[in-house]
Amino acid sequence: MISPIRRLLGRNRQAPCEPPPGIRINVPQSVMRALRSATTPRRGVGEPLAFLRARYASEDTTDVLVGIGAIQFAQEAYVAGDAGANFDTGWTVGIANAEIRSNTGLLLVHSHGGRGQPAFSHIDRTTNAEVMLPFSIGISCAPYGALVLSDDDASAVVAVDRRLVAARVVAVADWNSQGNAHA
Amino acid sequence: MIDRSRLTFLGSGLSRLSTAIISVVGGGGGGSHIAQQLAHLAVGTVAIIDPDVIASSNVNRLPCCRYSDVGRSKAQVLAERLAGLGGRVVPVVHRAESDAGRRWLERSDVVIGAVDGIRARSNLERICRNAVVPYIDIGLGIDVSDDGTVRAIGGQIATSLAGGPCLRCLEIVTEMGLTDDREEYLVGAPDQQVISMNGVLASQAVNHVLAILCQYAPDFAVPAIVRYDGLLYRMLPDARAVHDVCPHFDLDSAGWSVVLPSRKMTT
Repeated sequence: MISPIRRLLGRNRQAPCEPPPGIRINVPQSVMRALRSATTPRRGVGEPLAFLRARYASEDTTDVLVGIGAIQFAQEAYVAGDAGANFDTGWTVGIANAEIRSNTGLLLVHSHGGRGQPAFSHIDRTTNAEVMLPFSIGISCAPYGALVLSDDDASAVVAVDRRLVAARVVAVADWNSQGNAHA
Repeated sequence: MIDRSRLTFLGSGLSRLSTAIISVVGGGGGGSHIAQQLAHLAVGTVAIIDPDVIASSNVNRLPCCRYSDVGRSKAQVLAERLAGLGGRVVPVVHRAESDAGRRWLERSDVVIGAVDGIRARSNLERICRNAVVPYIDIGLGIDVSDDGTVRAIGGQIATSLAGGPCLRCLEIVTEMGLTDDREEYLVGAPDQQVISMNGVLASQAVNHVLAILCQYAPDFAVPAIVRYDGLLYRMLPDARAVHDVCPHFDLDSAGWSVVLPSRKMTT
């Protein structure tokens, strides 16, 4: 008996079996918690920043990223300015150089608070293009981009072929988020 | 129309089910039950990854299969029979370790392995740990002596999450097991299985999926391992801590990592 799908496609063709397209970032819930904590407004820093340390899932996979840790911006990384967060790009270059030795890229993270899916502001998009996109030029072994948090969701962009492309952030259950020991 | 009126106890996590991608590796005795339940739950996408075809000895333990299906792809037959339940069921007629299989594993919200052999389990877990994807493993063994006496019926549902114990920590994957696995494969050792006990383990694995994705009872952690004893008619979490911290996979080494050497160069 020929299945309806096979009949439609012709007997010799397989039904399509590709997963849905798009870039996906798998971030353990413990890392998401660390990012939220690092980007919570505090005295002296109205819009704190962090980096998500990220890698490609495997050698030949560039559309699945894994988030492996959070780096809180040091106090000396911030400089005076008009925007919510003003920072020294020299400090970020130092971090990026240290991380690239283990194929680890960076996503610049900040929080807009509130609920629901957040969106990058005009200033965010300019910063992403001017600060994060250049990191990706000439480096194909590690991902770069930006991520914005709300209190219960996240949005991200990742550099692909000198463009920033929207990516889906997936908060993944991990051992500690399941209420287990050594949290 | 999908009616989930009796699933509202899953709370806001219910919406996660409808967008989730769940890969079921192995369309045999365990995997077919799991795929069937996930399809009935109208999970967004269920990928059934299995390159094998149905043998006559499979039919008595594969829900949805008939003797007229013998010789056809397990994944294809299951996908056809489980269509129309609200979600997408995709047959992936490839090995899980192939490029096509791995593309599904890395993009899944949960992977469930219902495979024979220790090496296959080990490979699946490694791919999932690298991609930070929760991996649930089920296995059933029925030990029969030469005179036909049933000596033991044992099984397990192991849940491998980033930061937690892995199949090696839980002593499901061992060096001896990997070696024996190869020898069993070479001699084609017979494997006793029964639909009812496969179904017990499969149902519990789907419960773990619901707990992980929907987090309907966040105060009750999904155990790293639940053991099934078919002779004592019981299934219990095994609280033995083989390792406090998994020494085999750490989050910092997830993903593609090749540490570049630090060298002083001169020109």
